[in-house]
Parts: sequence; C-alpha cells; structure tokens
Amino acid sequence: MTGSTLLAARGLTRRYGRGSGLVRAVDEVDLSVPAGQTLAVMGPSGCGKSTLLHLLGGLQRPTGGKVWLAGRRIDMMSERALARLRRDSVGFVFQSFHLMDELTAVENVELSALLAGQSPRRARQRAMHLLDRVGLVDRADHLPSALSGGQRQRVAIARALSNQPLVVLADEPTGNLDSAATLEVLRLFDDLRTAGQTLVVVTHDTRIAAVADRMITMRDGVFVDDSRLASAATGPVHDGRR
Amino acid sequence: MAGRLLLVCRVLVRDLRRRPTETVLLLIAITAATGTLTLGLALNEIATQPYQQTRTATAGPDVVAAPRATGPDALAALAPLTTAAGVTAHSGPYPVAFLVLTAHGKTAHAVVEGRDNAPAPLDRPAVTDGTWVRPGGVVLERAFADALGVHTGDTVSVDGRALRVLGTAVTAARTTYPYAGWTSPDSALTERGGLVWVDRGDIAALAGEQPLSYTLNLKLADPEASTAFVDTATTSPRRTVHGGELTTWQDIAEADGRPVAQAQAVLLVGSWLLTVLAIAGVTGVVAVRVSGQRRRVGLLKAVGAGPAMVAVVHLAEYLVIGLAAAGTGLAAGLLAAPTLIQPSAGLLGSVNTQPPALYMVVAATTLALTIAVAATLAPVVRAAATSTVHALADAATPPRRRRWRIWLSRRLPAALLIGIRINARRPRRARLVTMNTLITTTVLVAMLMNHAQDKPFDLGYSELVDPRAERTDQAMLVLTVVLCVLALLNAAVNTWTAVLDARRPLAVARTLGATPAQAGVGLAVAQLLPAVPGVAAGIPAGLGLYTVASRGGIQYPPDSWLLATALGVLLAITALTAIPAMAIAQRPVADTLRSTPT
Amino acid sequence: MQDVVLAMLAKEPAHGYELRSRMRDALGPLGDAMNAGQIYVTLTRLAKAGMVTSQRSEGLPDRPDRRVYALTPAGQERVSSWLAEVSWPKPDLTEFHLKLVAAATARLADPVALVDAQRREVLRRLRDAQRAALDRSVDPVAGLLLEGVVLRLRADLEWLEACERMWTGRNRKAGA
Ligand SMILES: Nc1ncnc2c1ncn2[C@@H]1O[C@H](COP(=O)(O)OP(=O)(O)OP(=O)(O)O)[C@@H](O)[C@H]1O
Ligand SMILES: [Mg+2]
Repeated sequence: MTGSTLLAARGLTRRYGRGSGLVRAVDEVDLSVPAGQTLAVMGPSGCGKSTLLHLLGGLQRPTGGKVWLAGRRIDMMSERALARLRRDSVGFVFQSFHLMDELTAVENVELSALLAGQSPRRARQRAMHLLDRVGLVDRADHLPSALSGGQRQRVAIARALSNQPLVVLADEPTGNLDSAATLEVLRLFDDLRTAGQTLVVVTHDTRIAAVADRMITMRDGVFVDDSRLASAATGPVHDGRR
Repeated sequence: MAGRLLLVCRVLVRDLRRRPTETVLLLIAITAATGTLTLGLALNEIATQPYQQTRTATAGPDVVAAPRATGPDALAALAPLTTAAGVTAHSGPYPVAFLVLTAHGKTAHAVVEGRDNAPAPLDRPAVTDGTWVRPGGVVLERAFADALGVHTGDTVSVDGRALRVLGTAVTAARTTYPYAGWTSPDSALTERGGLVWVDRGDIAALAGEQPLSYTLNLKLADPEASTAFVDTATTSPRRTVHGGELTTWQDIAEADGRPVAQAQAVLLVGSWLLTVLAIAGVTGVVAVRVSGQRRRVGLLKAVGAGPAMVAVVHLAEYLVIGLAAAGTGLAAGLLAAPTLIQPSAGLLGSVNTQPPALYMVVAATTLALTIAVAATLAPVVRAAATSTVHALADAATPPRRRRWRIWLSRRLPAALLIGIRINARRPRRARLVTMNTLITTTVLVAMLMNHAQDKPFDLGYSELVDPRAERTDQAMLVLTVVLCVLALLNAAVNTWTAVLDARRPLAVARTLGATPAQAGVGLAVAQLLPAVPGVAAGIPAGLGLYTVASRGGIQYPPDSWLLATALGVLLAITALTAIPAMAIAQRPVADTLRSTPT
Repeated sequence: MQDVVLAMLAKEPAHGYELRSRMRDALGPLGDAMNAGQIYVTLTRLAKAGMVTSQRSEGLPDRPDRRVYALTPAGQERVSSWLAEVSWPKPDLTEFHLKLVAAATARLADPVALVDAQRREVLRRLRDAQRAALDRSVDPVAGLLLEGVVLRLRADLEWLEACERMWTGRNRKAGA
C-alpha cells in the first residue's frame, strides 16, 4: 500500500530562545514518509511532537533543515504559497478541534473547499459526502456547540479531508476525548489507512499504534526509535497475563 | 470566486448576528460621528437654500446701490447706473432713512425704506402676513418683527410717530435682521438694526430733519457677473459710485448665512472630536472582538486561507458596519437638520435636504469607512500576520508587567494595590480611557466657556436675541448631547471589557483574602487612574479650543464650574465601573475561576 | 476457569458444546484463542470434585460435549461464594522487575534493552487488542473485555516507560 516518498525532512531543526534559554524543540531529524503510510509519532509531553508536525505542514518555519512535500521544498515557500499548500495538499486535525463556533458542521467542512475556490454547490456536495463518511450526515446542520467531543473531532477530520489532501497531519486528535470517542476516531483513521490516505498522527496515546503502519518515538527533539509495525495483524490475541 | 464570496458573507453575517450588542455599539459610535458631520454640512444648505428661494420669489436684484451721499447728490450718483452696460432692469431709487423704532417698550435701530404700493419690477418683498405698504402704515421685515415680538395690527412708533403694523415681509435685497445696514447719520459706522417699509409719501415726514438716503436695485444681463459689474462701476474714470456703495446678491447671501456659519463651525469641529471619540470607541470594541477571533484567524490559515483572505474576512465586517452607520448617520443628520437649526425667519422657504447632496453622501461614507478602517486595520493586520500556530493556541497578548507600578503598589492599601496592578495589565485600554475622558472634558469645558460668554447684544437701545448666538448655542447643545452619549457608551464598553479581563485576577486576589469591596474598589481605581490625566488635560484643551475658535474678548467661567465638570466626569466613570465591579465581586470566587480560561 | 464454568451452569443444566459457545460469545475475538478441550478438562475435574454431575443424553454418542452437565449442591455453594469474592487478579510485575534488577547487578544484560524488548511486545499486544476492538462487528459486551485489556496494557506501557527512564538514568551515571 505504501509507495514513493511523499513527505521528507532532512536535518529538520527548530529552536526557541537563545543562550541559556535555548530549547531544541526539534533537533536535526531526518524523516521520510512514503505515500499511503500511517505514521504515529509518539513521545512524552514537550518532546517536540507538535513542533515537528507544524514544521511538516508549513504552519511554522524551521530554523534549519529542509522539508519536501510531494517533491517540493516547503520550508522556504512564501506565505502565499504556503497558504495554497495548506489549502490543497495538507489537512490538519487538532486536539481542540478548532471548529468555527458560528458555522454549522457542514459549513465547517466545506470551508476549505470554498477557500480553494470551488463552487458553493460542489463544496456542499463534497461536504455532505464527507460527513456521511464520518457518520454525521444527520448532524450536518448542528452547530459545534451541539456536538459531542468525538463528533466535533470527526467533523474536523471531515474538514481536513475536504480537498483530498496528500497528507493528513493530526496533533493529539484524541487528546480531549474519552475512551468511547477515541474509539470512533481510531475507527475513522483505520478506514483512512485502508483507503490509502497518508497520515501523520502525533500523540502520546499508545492506542494510536493500533492504526499505524509505523511508529516513531521522540525524546527531547530527536527520534529515538523508528519501528515498522506488522500491518493489520489479525492473528490470535492474548491478554498477556494468564 | 463565488465560493470565497459566500464564505466571507457567511462568516460576516453569522458574526454580526452572534454579537448583536457589539454590532449595535459600533453602529452607534460611527453614526454619532457621521450624523454630526452631516448636520454640519447640512447647515451649508441651510445657509444658502433659503436665500435662493427668497431671491426667486421676490425678484431679488443682482446688485444694490446705496451711495453714502444723501439727497440730490445721491440721486445724481445713481442715475448713470440705470443705463450702464449690462443693466437690463432696475427699480428705485427708493428713499431710505435710518431711524429708531419702538415696540412693546423695546427700542431698536430701524432702516426705513419708502416704497410704492404698486409692485416694483425688481425687489418685490414677499408679504408673509398682512398686506403691503399703504400710507400711514408700516411693514416689518419678518425676522425683525419676530425679534421684537411684533404682530400685524400692533402699533409701533418710528421716531415718535405711531404707525400701524400692516404686515410682515421678506426681501432678498438687504441682509436680514440684525444686519440690515443701519448707518448713523453722523458717522460712517454701520450698526445692527432691522428693516421696515413705509409708504414713499410718509418717509419725508418720518425722517424729519434727517437727509434721505437712496437705494437702487439693478438687474444684470448676467447675474453671475455681478462682481465684475461692481468692479467696472466703481473703478471707471467716470464713476459716480465708490467702493462699498454697491452690494452684489452674493454678498447679501453670504451675510444672510453668517448666523449659521458659527454654528456650522461648532458642528464641524465637533464632528472631528466625535470622530476621534468614535475611533476610540470602535477600537475598544474591535479589540475585544478581534481577540475573540484570534483562534478563528489561525484556523482559517490552517485550512489554507492566505493573510489577505483572513484580513478581508475580518475587515469586511467592519466595512459593512461602517457603510450602515454612514447611512444611518446621514439620515439622522438630515432629518435633524431642519428641526434643530431653523433657517432665518428673514428668508422664505423651508430647508429641503432630501435628497442629500452627493458631497454629503461621499463625506459621510468616507468618514464612516475611515473610522472603521482606522480602528480595525491595526488589530486585523496584526491578527492576519500572527503565526498560525500562535493564533491557534489563542494566546491572548499576555498582560504587561510594569515593574515600578508593581513595586509602588506593594506599598499601598489593598484596594489601590489591586487597582494599580489591573491598570498596569492593559496599557492600550488605559490609553483609550484617557482619550475618552480628554475629549469629553474638552467639549464640556468648551460648552461652559460658551455659556460664560455674557455678550450684550446691542441693538441701539435695548438687548434682543442674537440669532447668531442662538444658533451657536443650539449647535453646542446638539454636539454636547451626542458627545456625552458617545462618551458614556465608550466608557461603558471600556469598563465592561476591563471587568471581563480582570475577572480572573480579581478572583485570584480574593482567594488570597481580598474582600469583595476591595476587589470592586480596585477595579474602579484601575479605570479612574487613566481618566485623571484625561480630565486634567481636557480643561486647558477645552479653554484653548474655545479661545482659538472665537474672536475677541473672552470671559472665563468660574473655577468652581471647571472643578465641578472634572469631578463630574470622574464620578460618572466611577459609577459606571462600580456597578459591574460590585456585581462580579458578589459572585462566588470558585465560579469565576472555573468559568474563565487561564 | 472452574468457577466460570460452574457459574454458567447455575441457571440450568447444559450440554458441553453449549457451554463452550456461550464462553466464546462472551469473550468475543479473545474467545477464538480458547482451547476447545480446555472446557471438557475442567468439567471432568469438577465432576471428580463432586461439583457437577453429568448425564448421557438420549440418542447421542457418549462424548463429553454431548453430555448434559448440572450443578450439585456443593457446586451451587461454590458459585455463591465465588460471586461474593472480591479478590482481583494481580498483574505480575514483580518478576519482570526482579529480572531487570538481576540483569543490572550481574551485568547479564542491559536492562534498558530488556525494557525495550518488553515494550515492543506489550505494544504489539496492545495494538492487536485495539485493532480487535476497532472492528465494528464486535459485540459490545465482548468489546468491554477488549477495552479492559487495552487499558491494562496501556498501564503496563506507562510503567515500562518509567522503567526505561529509571534504567537509562542509572546507565548514564554508571557510564559517567
Ligand atoms: N513558542 C515557543 N517558545 C519557546 N519554546 C517553545 C515554544 N513552543 C514550544 N516550545 C518548546 O518546545 C518544546 C517542544 O514543544 P512541543 O509543543 O512541540 O511539544 P509536544 O511534544 O507537542 O508536547 P505536548 O505533548 O505536551 O503537546 C517544548 O519544550 C516547549 O517548551
Ligand atoms: Mg503538542
């Protein structure tokens, strides 16, 4: 299912502060994500996961190193080009959903399609289709305030998928959810993985591992472990303590 | 493209609907400024329109000749003018005497003009009440009659001779009361006075010893060339009249508009002050809104909106409010103009400001959009330019830390300590408070100054209403009322945001043992501190503004008035703050801590 | 296991194969791993202990899964006391902990490497359990068991992380 390299970074570095206050949030990491791979980046709080994700998605500029998305350097792109990139090629999912409170679910989902200049009718069709995919068509006209956390996150995922992004970047997507809502989101990610969507999930929730093809462990801004996981093991399951 | 437009409109409409109070506040603030500007501009119309109407209705002359010479000399000087090049018609010369009129115990200068009963080809004064002149009767210029309180059928005396008032009339051939051009027989000085008409046959008897002056009305082939005509007539080698003896219709129109001119100046200066105040108010509201919208900025950027798009989405909202406010301000100003500022009674016709002149629409719209953009551009651009990550984190600008104030406040009682620290948190808001009180105090003090001017209005022998002062007072009143409303609104908004922002620190202070009263007083102190310099600077500013705007002998109001104004402003702010502050101080601390984000 | 089988017979006597399929349903995906013979071994032991009796059913060959089993009064009693019991299975961390200590003191192996290997193993199990739970066709009651397994494994992982931090620190000190 995995193909050529879609997302790559060489010597990627992001520092904050200077002198004694210098923080190496991301410290010269190399990364290459093949198309169709689901990558989980794990690690303790403050190890630089969010920063890494922001660098990969062009939300933040690195202080050093290079980032390529689909073969194009994005670390030196102009702000305009980055905006277009985020519109067309990257979908973001955040821990706190970041839905627009004043827009209904479907209006939130069609946001990026409208920004990309699609006609309102087509944008609406696509949004409804995506809501259907995340199982929320019947909530299309609800405001986020009327949705549960898990439902909001699913709306946010639908929004991230709106423009058929090359890669979906998710930052602690289950961080604010309880165990049942986490399961909903995990199922959705599992469907995405099966559909061949490239996905980078940053988290410290080990359950994400269940839907990942590969897991990177970060500590203090560097990768300490990079393991490819056997894909879709369906063999016998033991609870491990008998 | 359609999609983006839809998006902008959708966000705009939802946002306006979601925050109706703020929308209304913004509308009011901008409307106040545009309305006052419109009122000021409408006075232009008031100054010119009635004269034009009167001139048309009374066949007003293009040039009026009134030589300083008297008797036959005057007639000789006027004779060549009737046949001068460019003159197509004339009426007169009519005899004129400068006498004294007494009515209801009031005495005033009267310019008495002798007229025929038959209508003249030029300058046929329009009778507004009663009839035109007959032997033994007098017709008063309407504004003059109004000032004296004289009505048709009353009896007045002119230089001791009783005459029945036949009616009132208006003319375009002479400036209306009180600038009818009364000239003392023994000096060249022109004094204030009103115009009356009597029968041509009666004037000699009324004038008695006094030699008669004469006035001649001329019609020109080209009314617009009146100034050129006057120049030629007074400078040619064979001239019979001299500079100052010929008056063009434009001069009269200008003089008739003069009572309104000062009021207009007041309103125009006032609209600038209101503009500043409106910007301050709008800035306050916008700051709250934009900070509430920070997360949205980040989100829009994360889904791929460029900085321009983000700015458009946010600016559009304020531009729409600005346009709406331009409309309401224009309508309010135009509707209010005829009722607030009456045209002179000495002229005919009503003021018709509908439809508004194009320049008024342009001026009001420009002002409204300027206010909207001036107040919003900086925060919107700042928001659009913040890094996406930062905006998403929704980190409000962290409160400032002012070392010396914190140091100082440690030595003060608890309430003051809380107040100074809250004040130090948000310097920009503190500046808005200063600005607001500065302008309010300035205008209030200017108003006081205006009141303190106790100018006698001399009409020869008794004091009558000065139409100019009357209109200035009206304008001042309008300005003061609008301004106070706006200032109160600004203060309310500012206090409200301050209270919201200070909720958490106050709650924390209370967990540390501050009493509700200390917390409430602390908040009031925080608002009062920046108000004090505003009030202090507003007093000299108001005095200065009035001094610059008016000429001549100024009288200053007593210090106690100024002090009372200053205290009043401060008291109003305290009261405005104390109410919400006490309200939040009553709430249980735990509630506040739970309901506000860190 | 014995208690579970007894409790399942409490309602009414049942065939051996019925018992087995009831167990499998309750365990969901985890039930697949259950050894088929296990339940009959257990039943035989219970019968020896006098907790159950069994009868041949008519017309069927005499195989353990074709017999009908029923509780004896002693069995009834055992079920009641089992239900009232509050003991909780202890996750056995002691052994692994001691393994690490022994490895470190005797320099048999690098404890960090041991932790790492163990972490991978636990992670693999967690992943399998979570995958199984993701399957939308899983019966909700059986899903509950999976959730419990997942939660336990996550706790184990957290503990392993704490172990790793500790032993990495030790190593560094020792190295320095
Ligand atoms: N704007 C900033 N200025 C200074 N330091 C920062 C800034 N943003 C992040 N850091 C530092 O960079 C490091 C990595 O931060 P990051 O947010 O990427 O961690 P994280 O792995 O996402 O943590 P968490 O799991 O808690 O979200 C942290 O030590 C943090 O303190
Ligand atoms: Mg993070």
